[in-house]
Amino acid sequence: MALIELNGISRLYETGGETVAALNGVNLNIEAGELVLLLGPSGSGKTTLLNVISALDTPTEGSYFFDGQPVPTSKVEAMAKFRRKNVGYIFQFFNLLSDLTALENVMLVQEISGKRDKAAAMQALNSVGLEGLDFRFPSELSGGQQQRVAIARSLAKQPRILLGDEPTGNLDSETSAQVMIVLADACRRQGVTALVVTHDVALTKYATRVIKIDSGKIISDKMGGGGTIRGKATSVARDVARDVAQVTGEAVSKVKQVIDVVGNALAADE
Amino acid sequence: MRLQLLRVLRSQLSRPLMRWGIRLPFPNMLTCLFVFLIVFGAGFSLAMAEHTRNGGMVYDDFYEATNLADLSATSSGKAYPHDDMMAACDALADIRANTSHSITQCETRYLHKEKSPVMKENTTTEEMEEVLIPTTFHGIDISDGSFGHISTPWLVDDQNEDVVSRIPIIDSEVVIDWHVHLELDVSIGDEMEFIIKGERVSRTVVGYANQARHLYYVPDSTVVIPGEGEFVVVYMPMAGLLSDLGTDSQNRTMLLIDVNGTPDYDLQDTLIEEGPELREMQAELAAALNEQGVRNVRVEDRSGIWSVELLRQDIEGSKKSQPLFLGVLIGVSALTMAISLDRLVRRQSREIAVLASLGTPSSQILLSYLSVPLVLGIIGTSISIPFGWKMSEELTLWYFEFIGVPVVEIQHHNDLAAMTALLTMAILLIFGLYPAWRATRLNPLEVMRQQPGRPPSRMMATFTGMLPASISLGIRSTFRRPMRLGATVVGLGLAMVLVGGTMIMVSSMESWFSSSLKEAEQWDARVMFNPYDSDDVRQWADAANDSIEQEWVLAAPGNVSGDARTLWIFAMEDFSEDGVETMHASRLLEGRLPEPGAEVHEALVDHGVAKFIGVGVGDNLTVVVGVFPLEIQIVGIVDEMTRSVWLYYSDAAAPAEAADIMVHNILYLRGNLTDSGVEDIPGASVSYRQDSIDAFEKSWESQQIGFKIFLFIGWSIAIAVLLNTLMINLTEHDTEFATLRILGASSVRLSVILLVESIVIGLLGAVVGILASILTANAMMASFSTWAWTFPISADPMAVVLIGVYILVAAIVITPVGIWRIRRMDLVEKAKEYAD
Repeated sequence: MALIELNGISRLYETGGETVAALNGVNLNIEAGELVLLLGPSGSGKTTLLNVISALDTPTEGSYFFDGQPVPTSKVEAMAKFRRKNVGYIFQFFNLLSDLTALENVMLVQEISGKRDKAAAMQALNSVGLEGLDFRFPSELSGGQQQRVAIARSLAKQPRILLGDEPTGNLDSETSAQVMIVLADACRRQGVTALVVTHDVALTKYATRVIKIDSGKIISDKMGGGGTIRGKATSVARDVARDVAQVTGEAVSKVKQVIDVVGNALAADE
Repeated sequence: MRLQLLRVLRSQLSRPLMRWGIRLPFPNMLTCLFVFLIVFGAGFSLAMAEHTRNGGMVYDDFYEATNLADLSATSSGKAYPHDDMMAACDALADIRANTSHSITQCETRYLHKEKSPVMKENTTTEEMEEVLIPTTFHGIDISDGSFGHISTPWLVDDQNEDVVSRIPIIDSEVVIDWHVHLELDVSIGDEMEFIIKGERVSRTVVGYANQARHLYYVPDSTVVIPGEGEFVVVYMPMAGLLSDLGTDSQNRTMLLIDVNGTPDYDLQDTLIEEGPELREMQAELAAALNEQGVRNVRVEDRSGIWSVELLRQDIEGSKKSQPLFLGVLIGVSALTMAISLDRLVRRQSREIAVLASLGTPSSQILLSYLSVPLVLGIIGTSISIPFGWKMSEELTLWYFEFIGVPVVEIQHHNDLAAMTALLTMAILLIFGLYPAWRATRLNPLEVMRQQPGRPPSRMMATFTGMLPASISLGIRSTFRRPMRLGATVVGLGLAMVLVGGTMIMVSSMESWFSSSLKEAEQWDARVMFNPYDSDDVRQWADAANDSIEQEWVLAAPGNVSGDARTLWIFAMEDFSEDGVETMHASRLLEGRLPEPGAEVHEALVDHGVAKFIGVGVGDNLTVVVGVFPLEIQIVGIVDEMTRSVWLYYSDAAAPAEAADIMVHNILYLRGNLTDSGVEDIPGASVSYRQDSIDAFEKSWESQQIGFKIFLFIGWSIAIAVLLNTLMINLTEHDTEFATLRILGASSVRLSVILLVESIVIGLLGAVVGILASILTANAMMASFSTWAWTFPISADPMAVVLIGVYILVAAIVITPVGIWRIRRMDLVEKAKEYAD
């Protein structure tokens, strides 16, 4: 069962008398442990998709299941609770609280989740390479360091998924790479599924899966450079399944069975 | 291209106005708030300024129309021949002939105090019954078709009646005081009954008048306005009064003197001697009277006409306090506006940076932000002027209705309106200058660099570091902008100047009055009579001695030697602090009670005398009663309503006592007075303590309206200041709270952060508010405090606590507003504003 299951998700907006479909019948399954990159031009719907997944926005149509359970879409407090329990979030401009130190930023989020643990907060900062910088305020840290604090902050509450909206958008390429490495490493170690929205194609090498979106629709869903053999095989199988689905529906299911067998065999070899 | 650029710039430069919400015809809440503050501040100030000027004009008209006496000599009851008094006047005229202070004319009067029978409804039985009301009769000569020539009664007409007031022509006609007409519903043409020398006489009312001695309508030696219809003043032909009294037609108790022009006289509320010449003339007159055998009189200039002086000082007090009110009210508005303008500049820092980068001159940026206080000021002052005019009319009418002086004309003064408007604009522009100047000083590079906010101080971080992060955040956020916090606290302090200061002053005044009437005075009734005609009173007292407690008092006006201000000397049988052994409790503030028979007579002085004369326990003082000096030593300072000196009768009237002559003019009574016949004593008037208490409480209640208006204005301003800052703080937290919300923070969690911040601001505000209130109350009292009218300020703990609680509650109330905003927020868009 996929961790995130989106079926027929659409998000429509009324603007200037016209109806705009920011998302248009999106179907998407994300397995646990994946690091998914969501690529697309401005206005493609990638941020809207992120908002739906993080329960910040409510889809106009379709269903959204998280770990097999329907995600709340109407009650504000219920949606906040969902995020509190399951979602970590990192922002383009870091969004650290300037009145709190790096450690306190992490501990605040722990308090929000009811899991205040100073040692764990320190450990979280150490794990992202910020040993000895826990006492510093955001204004005393570089951009990369601030973003690492933001990653530590999000992971310190042990979320199921980590969402990032252009997390490297405000960083230079070198720092962006460092941050992505830290992010990927931290997610892998903690078993956190990550979904990152970005313009930067260069980051695809860190992702296990790269989804391209345009005009509210997924136009491509491929393996990323950071994937495992199993991941790659699954990705290939998925591509094949999609291509074959164009032929016949029955043939598709048979082919899928074949692919599952092949995939399991490959996994057994690993 | 250039034109297009200019168009863009112009529209950008008008953005401060648009962003502020000054959009006609429907401006936003912020605009309405500030316009409200300005209208109230400037309007109220204008109302006070106009009231002060109109009030002064009323009195000026009154003094001129009645030819107020420049000098007077008043007997405490003993009558002297008219010729002797006039001879003294002639002597003075000779001395002052061919000088700038020559004598124009002199006149004698006869004052008598007794009572009037009036039908009133008994509040218990609800039946009409006869009540005897203390009455003062003015015997005035009619000559040359005039009812007196000096300090004349000022005839007044009731606009609702067809008849007009006129002076009496025959002895059976009288003019009643305007208050009597209002309070007892006696009209021209009515027959009114009086008791003179124990005999009932009936007289026809032919007119209503105000007179200088009774402008502040109270009996002598008290400041408490009697209840409605509990004091009567009558102006009647001299011959008629003397005939009713059965006394010599030449007897007089008062000499009035008109000096050429309007000479300066020594004001009782200043330390400067404004009228040295008139002071000299007082001494000359006293000597001249003494030479004629007229000894037991008190010689005074206009400052001695206590009623006139009290009201003059009241108007002067308003005049002195008007700039304070303008400064405080507009200052608060301007400060609050400056806080918001500063916030606006911060929010528009990117736009300003862009404009600066495009080469926009600093002066244009400055002007565009100054346009906010300019426009708000123009709108506010435009509305405040008609508002202020209306308020001044209501204030002046209410005030003079309370005093009982009909106001002939209320004028609006364009110069006052212009001055108020200009001062208001100046204050607004001065306060708006700083944020506007800041806008010109923004460095485009620094703005574009998007640096994270300045960190809190290490000390703050250490101090709050041990607390949970939510609470640390709340506390540190409060001090994030120390200047804004400081400005808010100052603004709150200024707002509390009005409301807190008034609350404390009013509660002090009320408790002082109440304790003065209820604790200090332990008599049930007070009989006042002529000390030179006391046989009837003594006969009655002898007969009632076994059933009713009695205490004899001599009260006489006097002054400290070398000082013109009038005080009262009370010669008592005994002293006590609890009012059990005596009927007047001496509330000692310092020192001890006097002992009789000391070489230098021991005495108490009231706190006002001690303060204004600058004396204390252990000091020796010479007080003058009539022309008789009395040397005293101050052994204690007491809390009293009037400026007074208290000593043993046996010390004060030693010569009279030695000659076995008892001279008193007040008899205190305690006990069951029902059917005692006290009210039937010829030549005496009786007043009851309970009536004074009831009258005070009723009068106090009627003044609550004025106080409540003050409090309403003050609290509105205080709440506006507080809410403005709290809302700004709230909006500055938008991105932070959006971030926390995205990270899953519950409403409860966010409420804690908001609440902590509100409580800190509220506590700071409460402390400052309380301090400002106490300081202001004392300052207000010092400013209003005059010789005639002063009382100690005591910060009622309840009032102080209430002030603090109100501020704290107002601050906390903002929390639900904040949560409501967060719940409605577009979280993602808000979080993206972090770059700003």
